Amino acid sequence: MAARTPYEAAANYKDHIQLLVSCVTRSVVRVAGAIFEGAPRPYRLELNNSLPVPLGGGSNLMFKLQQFFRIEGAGGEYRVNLVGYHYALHDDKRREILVYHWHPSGGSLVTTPHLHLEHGARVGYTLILGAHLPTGYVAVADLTRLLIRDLGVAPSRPDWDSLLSENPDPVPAP
Amino acid sequence: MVAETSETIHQATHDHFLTEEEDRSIMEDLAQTNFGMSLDEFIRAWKSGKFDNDKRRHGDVISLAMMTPEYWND
Repeated sequence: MAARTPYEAAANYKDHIQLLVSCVTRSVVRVAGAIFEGAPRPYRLELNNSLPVPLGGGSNLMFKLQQFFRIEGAGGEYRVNLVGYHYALHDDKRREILVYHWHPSGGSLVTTPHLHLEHGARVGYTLILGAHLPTGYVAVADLTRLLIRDLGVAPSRPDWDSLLSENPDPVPAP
Repeated sequence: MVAETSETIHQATHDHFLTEEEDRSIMEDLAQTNFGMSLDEFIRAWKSGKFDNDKRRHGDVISLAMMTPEYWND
């Protein structure tokens, strides 16, 4: 859905992600601007000031979410285009269990979306630690569903299933 | 247990955009908490390759680096 201004596009997108994560947390999503101390960068959307948030239920999991996006368009039609993300699950000692990464620039060897299984996952095969396991683009709605359906996180609202199905996040342009 | 107020919280956060001062404060806190250094020190260390083989902190390194203009403009 296009917005009339870049600000409106960013605000609408932030509200969309806030709605999705409201299925598992009350923590607030905010957006940092595309200029920092005079230098350009993508907008940054983050949950809980980029700190992991404890999730409900018996999972003892913590969740960190950051996305990076640019606003594209002109003439009163502006859209968000995702350019990167960092999603992480931590245990209650803040050790990373798994990290979904997409960092297409910055000198990284792997610039396509991938998954890291970290020390908190207690994987026995050591070469897996540090490996970049290929994934497609990972949507926040799908990740939120994973938390509830498979990882024991208690939903924060009764309509989580339909909400996640009916409000998919936009897939970034190739 | 299902929370009752998530929709109202969602409504109340409509205008939550970070100021530049808040943004720097968040990044400084992450640099201090995760690496024991200032943000500027972190950027210099990251760009010099200090964290290249630090697999345990790879996620934290990428996360903080991506927040900076230096990551996207070099």
